[in-house]
Amino acid sequence: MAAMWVAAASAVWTGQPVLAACFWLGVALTAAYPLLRKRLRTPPHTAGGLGVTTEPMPAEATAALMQRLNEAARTWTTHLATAQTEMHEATAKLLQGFDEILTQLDTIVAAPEQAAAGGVDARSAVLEECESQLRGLIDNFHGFVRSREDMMGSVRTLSGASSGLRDMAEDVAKLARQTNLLSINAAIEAARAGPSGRGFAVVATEVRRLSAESGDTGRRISERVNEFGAHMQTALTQAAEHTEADAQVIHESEATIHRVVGQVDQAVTELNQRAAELGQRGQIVRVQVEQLMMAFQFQDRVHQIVDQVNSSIHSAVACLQQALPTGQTPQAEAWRTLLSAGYSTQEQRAVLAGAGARARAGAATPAIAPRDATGTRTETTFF
Amino acid sequence: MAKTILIVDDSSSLRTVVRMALVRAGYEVIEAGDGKEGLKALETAAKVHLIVSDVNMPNMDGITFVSQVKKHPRLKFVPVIMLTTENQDSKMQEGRLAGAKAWIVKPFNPPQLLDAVSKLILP
Repeated sequence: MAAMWVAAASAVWTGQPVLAACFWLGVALTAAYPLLRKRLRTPPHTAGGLGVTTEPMPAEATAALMQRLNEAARTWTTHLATAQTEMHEATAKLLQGFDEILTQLDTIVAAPEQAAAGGVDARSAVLEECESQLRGLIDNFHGFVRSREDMMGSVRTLSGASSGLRDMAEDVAKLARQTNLLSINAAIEAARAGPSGRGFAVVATEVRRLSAESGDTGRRISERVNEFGAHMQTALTQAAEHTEADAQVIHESEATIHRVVGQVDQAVTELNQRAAELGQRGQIVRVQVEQLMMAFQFQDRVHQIVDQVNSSIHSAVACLQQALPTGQTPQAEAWRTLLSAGYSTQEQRAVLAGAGARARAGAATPAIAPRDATGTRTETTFF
Repeated sequence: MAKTILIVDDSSSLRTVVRMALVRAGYEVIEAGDGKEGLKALETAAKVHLIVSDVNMPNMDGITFVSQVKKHPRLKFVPVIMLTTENQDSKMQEGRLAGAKAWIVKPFNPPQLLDAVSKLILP
């Protein structure tokens, strides 16, 4: 009997509080049973066999013993029920918590997965769009420069035209000088003609005055044309300088755009890589959490074992209470049958067979059915 | 459209881990705490494509539950997988005679359960 309970203890001793409680209850029953046997005064020839009624206990002592048994059974079963309830509630909370963690993980892991699905294409498309728009700005700058060069071309043409105007002004001045010479000659000839040439002398004087004015006008035109030419030359020089500066700015802008797009591309690539890494790690954590949740199946097995122990305590106490008044020891086989009623797991049956050590070993190594790396059976029986 | 699986088990934690495995595989799940609740759930559900049931349960055990399901004209073709700590041949025979199609001993792993589900579930 003691060996059976020791085997039970070793079989279920996995560090779980409820199993530990079962163990101590087993110890208590083991301690109680010999006392009861002693009280029942089983003769030597009935040990391990049929019980024989001998010298019934006094009724008062029997009643007291029965009461103690009742108290013990009530206490044990209450403790077991408490342990069951606490473990059930704690397991439910843990599972709920793990379920919520999984939900959160799904959200975290799904985002990088979705990003990774079209991530590269989307990223390159966005970057190409950005680069295209920035290069559009540069093209606009090029357009401005071309417009200014066109305008400056017109100015150069105008500058060429002003040279013609200067020549024409010079021609006007030359004509004025020749006209002046003619008017002088006319005045001389009018003086030589005497009184009859006076009228002609007046005309010659007016012609000379007009030629002088024409000469002044030609000179002023020439001066203005020269001024315009100087202004245009200045404008052309400045435009040439600006064109060179603009080309430099555009070149630098293009380089900046290229550099910025490259930096953004690198940053986005790193972000994508980190997101992918985060997703992979999240996936690992998710699998681990799922495995942890699967491990909580132990609660169901423990629940069944403790339920059976609970029921067994009631049955054993009832059996002993029946035996007490008659002084008849329960038969060993009947006692084992009573204690094993309701067994559902291989480990329990192994305990009954006195093979606790084997049961414990069997729980860690393949013995009955194939198991995976986590020790879980992988065999399915199809009918 | 997702297929529906009824889980019958008196352990809520076990139902949770089974539900988790099935839902993640794309199935819809309804739950019941024992055989009686399982029969009620089957009566009210629009269509159940498969049942995963424990054996040892209060009120109505899994073997009785499967027997009742197999007597029902509308439900008798719904395949049943027994998911239990019981691994005795005699119990498995009871399950087979009651009409179960597969027997998985707890603790199970999700691929094992999903493999059995995919082999047995109604089209």
